[in-house]
Amino acid sequence: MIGRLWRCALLLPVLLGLSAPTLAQQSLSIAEVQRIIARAVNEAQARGRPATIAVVDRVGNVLGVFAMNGAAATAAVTSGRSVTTGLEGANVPASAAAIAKAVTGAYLSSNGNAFTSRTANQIVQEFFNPLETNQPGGPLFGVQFSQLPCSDLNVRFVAASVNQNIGPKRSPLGLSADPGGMPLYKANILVGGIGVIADAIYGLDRNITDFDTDSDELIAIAGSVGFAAPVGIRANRIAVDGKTLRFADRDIESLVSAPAAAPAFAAINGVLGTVQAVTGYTNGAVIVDGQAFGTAASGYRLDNSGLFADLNGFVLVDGTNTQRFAPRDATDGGLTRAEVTGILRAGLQVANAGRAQIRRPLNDQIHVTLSVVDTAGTVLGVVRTPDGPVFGTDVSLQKARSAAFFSNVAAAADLTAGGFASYVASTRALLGPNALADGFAYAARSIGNLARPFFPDGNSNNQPGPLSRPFPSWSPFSTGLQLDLIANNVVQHLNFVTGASGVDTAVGCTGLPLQVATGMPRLANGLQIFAGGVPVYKNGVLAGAIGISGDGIDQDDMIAFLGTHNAGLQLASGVANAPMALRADNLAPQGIRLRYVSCPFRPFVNDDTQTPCSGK
Amino acid sequence: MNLARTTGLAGLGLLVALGAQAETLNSKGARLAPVKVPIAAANVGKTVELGGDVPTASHVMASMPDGRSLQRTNQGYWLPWDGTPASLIDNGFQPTGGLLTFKVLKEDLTQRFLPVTVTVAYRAGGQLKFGVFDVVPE
Repeated sequence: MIGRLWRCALLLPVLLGLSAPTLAQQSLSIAEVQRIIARAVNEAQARGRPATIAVVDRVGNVLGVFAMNGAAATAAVTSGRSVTTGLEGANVPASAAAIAKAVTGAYLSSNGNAFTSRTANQIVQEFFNPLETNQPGGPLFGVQFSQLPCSDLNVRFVAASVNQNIGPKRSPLGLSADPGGMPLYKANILVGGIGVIADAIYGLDRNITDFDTDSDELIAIAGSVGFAAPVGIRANRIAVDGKTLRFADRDIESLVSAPAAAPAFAAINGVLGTVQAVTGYTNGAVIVDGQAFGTAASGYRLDNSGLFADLNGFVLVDGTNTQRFAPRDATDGGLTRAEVTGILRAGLQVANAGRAQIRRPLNDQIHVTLSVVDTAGTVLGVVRTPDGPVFGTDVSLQKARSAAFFSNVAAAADLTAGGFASYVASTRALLGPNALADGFAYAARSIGNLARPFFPDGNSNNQPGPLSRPFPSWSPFSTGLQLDLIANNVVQHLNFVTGASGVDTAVGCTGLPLQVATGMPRLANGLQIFAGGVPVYKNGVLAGAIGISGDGIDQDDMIAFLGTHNAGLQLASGVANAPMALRADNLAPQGIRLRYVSCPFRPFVNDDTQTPCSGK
Repeated sequence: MNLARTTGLAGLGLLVALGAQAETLNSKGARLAPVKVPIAAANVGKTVELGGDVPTASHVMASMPDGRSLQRTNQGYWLPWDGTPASLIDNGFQPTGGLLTFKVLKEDLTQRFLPVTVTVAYRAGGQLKFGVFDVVPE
């Protein structure tokens, strides 16, 4: 009911033609951040588990990092699968681990869904649910490698800059699947996240059939008391593919401390631990106020350009309240500004009419971010619904770039030049000798088919997909091409955070060839390998792609595909989805047909249409 | 910190000695060392070795974190750029002793997103050779 009332309040000013703020706004104060940390420290102290604790706001600004005396300075990355490749075995700074977990709680959540890093754990593994063999991989398989420190979209913290508090901020380790990252709410409004690491392991939970007593999670729960997610929107009230998601394995009844009786922050700071300075994330050892999401100061606000406000579209802005990623012409002579605007508007219309998969109450509309790129990976436009989870900002761009990249006849050459010829060879062994140079159109879902540790997905007896590591050396920390493309960026950034290097990772991920138009590789914020993006064609020629992220993957697929289709009809300029003969679902290696898009059945709130994507 | 244990990753040795070598441009695009600046008074230039090339034109472009593509004029102004090499303006920088120095910007960057990604380029022998670096805060 709260969500429905909120939605009515959201739409009313639009219906009335007003320009009033359309998203309820709350933020964390310094005193509240201190209270959250103090309660977490109190629980950690009671458990004898000294912890590092981070608090962020909804757009990833680090509001405070506190390291208790005796807390481990580093955490070991491990999936528990005896894998030694990828990031497995690395020792990462505890502060980076805590920040990544806090960011995960904040970024995966919204005012309509509260997800934790335990939720993330459930949806990024080789089976969904984890350890349920003969099930497909997690629906957000690969999302852990988003919000990367090399992203050109996510913002870097720069002290004394007008953009100091603008989001979305990057994360030092991407998103986390290690329990102990939770969202924080005030008056039912998402205001940030808390991340805790006390066990010196940056890992995941492979067995979700039991209920763990995880010190990281319990300390985070204690910290969130008074700022806990509304019960009705928690992950354990939300199902995907008939499977209920997980929020936490324990609740406040399992705490051994009394949060309300926790000492004041002033009594613990300098006594039980100290506030930390984290290079690249804080302006010294300080605690700061959070930003209210939806205000210009947060980097997200209602559009005022006249292009999207009638659809309640939100845009990204910089610290001078100037729009970021306003629609523009392509750099390759393909899409025009008007066509980009038309594609984004048509996508927003689908989202506004669609029924959300991951939000409560039921029948709430879809909330997502939409990104359009050209064939060089240039961002041509970004727009959002008001309450899309923040993670979808970067991920929508990843999906768009991934679809454009793999559909480009230059994909094989780019990968080979970047040092990834082995992945080209394995793809060609499966799909044919000219694969990735033959002009087939790959949706993000098709790329995902090729990037799972089993092909086809779900059967542990199958060979790996050509973009994946073989299962014995696969884990969420060692995925294959996706990680290999950005591993050096992550390592260089962590060396910068620790002070081992004075040079941070460059803007623009991967070592793939630089594009003159952008000064960056085509996959400038990394490869994404789960559904929700399709290439866009103009007069039968690849012109770029659209990526969607923030709701269920079928909903994301539908907005990308149907939005492009509808835009093509409205624009009548040659813009369209890929010609049917070029789509990757014409490829059936070993008799297994690749998938292109999958749209939900009866997906609209006030419309009985059953299969809106069929035949298009 | 034991990032060296990240076995299976190629190229971790690239993490040292950035910027220690002479920098050159090439037709596929070169990664150049970042330039650190005081953001309130940034003064950015870049010198590259020509390796025998004789530039016939020189260019400076920037990808802004707000999504805009800009190029520098020969008078030091920044204009929107459509991303195509054909529309690049010659900045007219002259080689000296086998080196070419690009003037990039001199301004207060506190109102800008950082890092700014800068591309420097010249035309020689019918090719556009370019390199990319980040302008980062000190």
